[in-house]
Amino acid sequence: MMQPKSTDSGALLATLHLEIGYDKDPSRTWHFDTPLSLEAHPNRLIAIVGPNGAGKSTLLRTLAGLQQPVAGQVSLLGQNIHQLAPPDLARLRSYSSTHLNRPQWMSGREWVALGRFPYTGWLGALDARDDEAVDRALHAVNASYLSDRRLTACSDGEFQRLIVARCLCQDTPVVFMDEPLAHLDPPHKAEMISRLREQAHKSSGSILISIHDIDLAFRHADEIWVLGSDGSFTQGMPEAVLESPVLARAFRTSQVTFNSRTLTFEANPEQLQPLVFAGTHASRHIPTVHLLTRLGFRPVSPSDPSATDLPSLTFQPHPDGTPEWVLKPANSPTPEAISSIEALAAKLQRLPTSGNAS
Amino acid sequence: MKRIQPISVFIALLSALGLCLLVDLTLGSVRIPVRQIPSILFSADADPTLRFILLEVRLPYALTAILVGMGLGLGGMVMQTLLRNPLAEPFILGISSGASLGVVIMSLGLGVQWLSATGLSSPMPAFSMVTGAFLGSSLLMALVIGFSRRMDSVMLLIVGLMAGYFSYGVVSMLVFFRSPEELRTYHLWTLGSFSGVTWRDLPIIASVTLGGCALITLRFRMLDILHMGDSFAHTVGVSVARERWILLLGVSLIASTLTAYCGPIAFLGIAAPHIARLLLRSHSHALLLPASMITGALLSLIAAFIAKAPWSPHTLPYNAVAALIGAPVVISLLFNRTSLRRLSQE
Repeated sequence: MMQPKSTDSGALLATLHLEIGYDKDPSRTWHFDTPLSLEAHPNRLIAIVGPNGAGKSTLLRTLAGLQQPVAGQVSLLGQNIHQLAPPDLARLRSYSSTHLNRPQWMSGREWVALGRFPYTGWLGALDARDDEAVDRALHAVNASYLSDRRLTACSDGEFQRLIVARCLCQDTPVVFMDEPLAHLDPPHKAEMISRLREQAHKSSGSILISIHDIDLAFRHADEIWVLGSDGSFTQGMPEAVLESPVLARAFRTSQVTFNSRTLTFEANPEQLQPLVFAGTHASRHIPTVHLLTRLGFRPVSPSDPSATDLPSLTFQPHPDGTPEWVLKPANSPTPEAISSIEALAAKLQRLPTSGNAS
Repeated sequence: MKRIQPISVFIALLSALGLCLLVDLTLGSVRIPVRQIPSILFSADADPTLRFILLEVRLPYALTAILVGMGLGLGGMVMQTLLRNPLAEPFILGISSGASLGVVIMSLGLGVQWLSATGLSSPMPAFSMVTGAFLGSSLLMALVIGFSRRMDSVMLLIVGLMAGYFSYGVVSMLVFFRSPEELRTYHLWTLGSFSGVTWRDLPIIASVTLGGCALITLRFRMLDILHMGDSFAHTVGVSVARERWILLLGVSLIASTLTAYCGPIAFLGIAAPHIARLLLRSHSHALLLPASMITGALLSLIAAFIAKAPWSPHTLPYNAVAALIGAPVVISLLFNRTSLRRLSQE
């Protein structure tokens, strides 16, 4: 394997005043607040996150040398990427996207072995070292069992793992992958990203991926790059990025906001209808909160000054000991006891919208 | 369906080719017994009439048919792979019509009355004919490839077709003002024929076709990779633009030379690669390219034999025969959807 050399700063990949996009189509040129000066260091899994259309794929393609930058330059191990001949470049970086044809009658192993192209002669004969690299790559994504399967017989998720294996098999210090978790089911997504991290550390390389699963990105990546829909760019350790408000701003839409505590997207507070919620019952609390959230309510504490004008929900033990909900609509003096969560859901959905909700 | 071993496919194809060659040499308006062929070929005291028929008529005719089939079969495979389109072939991309344009312009420019000369028997100086055809097809090819960098394969195909129609328009205009006799001769050229090729022309046709085929076949790895798409090819270190130029120039060289001597030949370029793919059920161009050449040669020889109409004194237009054989093959392939769907870009 090629030993990564690094620049003075220790970065494998660096950009200088980079602007990305399509020269001839200004509507597809991204204007970041400042031209991008990025660095990717060894032993890192870097996750690029951002909303649709923020330029993640374009950034990856530009960094991988598949497309010219609008301005600025990209250097890979200290060399300008656009001055490298394609065969030399192919030994320094690999790239994969999800938009690939599956050639007919090709086996999983033959597909992964395409990654050895930069190291084989015109006959394409694989030597023992190439075979070993193919085995290693298949093993790294837990796809050894797909070795003899035809690509056309693989599921989308299985083919996705072979795409990642093909990319790793190229054995390059820098690896770019556009949405390597696409088509994978949740457990395989979590497994794949942790394997990618392991791979980055084992090979002392940088792996840069674009990803839509923010929670996984923050739990597994060593570094996060955030491309905002507003042209912002932020990079840093997951914890540092979480501390700052950039993520919430980058992803904010009129409907939802990122919650950096739960790593999930939640409806904006002003979209929610306030409802006084008090009293806890150990076994009913979690489903009740879930139901309220799902139906678009925002729990308000009874001590809140606005509480008097709002509908309220409390728990009350039934005389026979089973818990019951008590729902009191706003402006109605008569509370109503409800015994099942299905009935509660029906009542909540019929609740008149209070004046506070927008 | 179980996959047949590639080696058996090649043995079967080559045996069929040998058999067809033998049938082609022996049958015709004059029947030459198979047993006499060696003596006619190698001894001087054979029947001079039979010797003339075999050596001066049938052998060049059969060899030309084989070379045309090889060249266009291979060209079709390369085009289908590069454009990732199952309908691509040299003819559809306008290369052959570019060659026609070159031939016609060359004849006008040189002031050679080749159209009214001696019909189909190589009336024009071979060199200028080939040069004209090659320049014309290279021009069309350069135009199409020049556009190819910024468009997808479907748009490229449309541009190729339009370029082809355009050059046919120019050709028709140029030919329209010639005499009816010249018009008819030009029309005969477009029908395709191998009977004009003599031993004098064969070395040129053979060296260009075989050289071009060798140049392309040696790049089978590049075709394997280019088939995956330009981005993918670039990722693993292929100089995409350069490779595409080399391959397309190779195809252009072959297609234009063959068109210059035999007229624009359709169908072989589409049919042969598909048959080769279905027989081999492989993605590897190391197998597909030779198989496509042999299949093309076989189809071409069969069509050429039927065009000769050995049961009658007439000769049928080759393109008509090739279409009558080729069209049902292409249609039957359409029903084998997996082969076509996988090839077209998803």
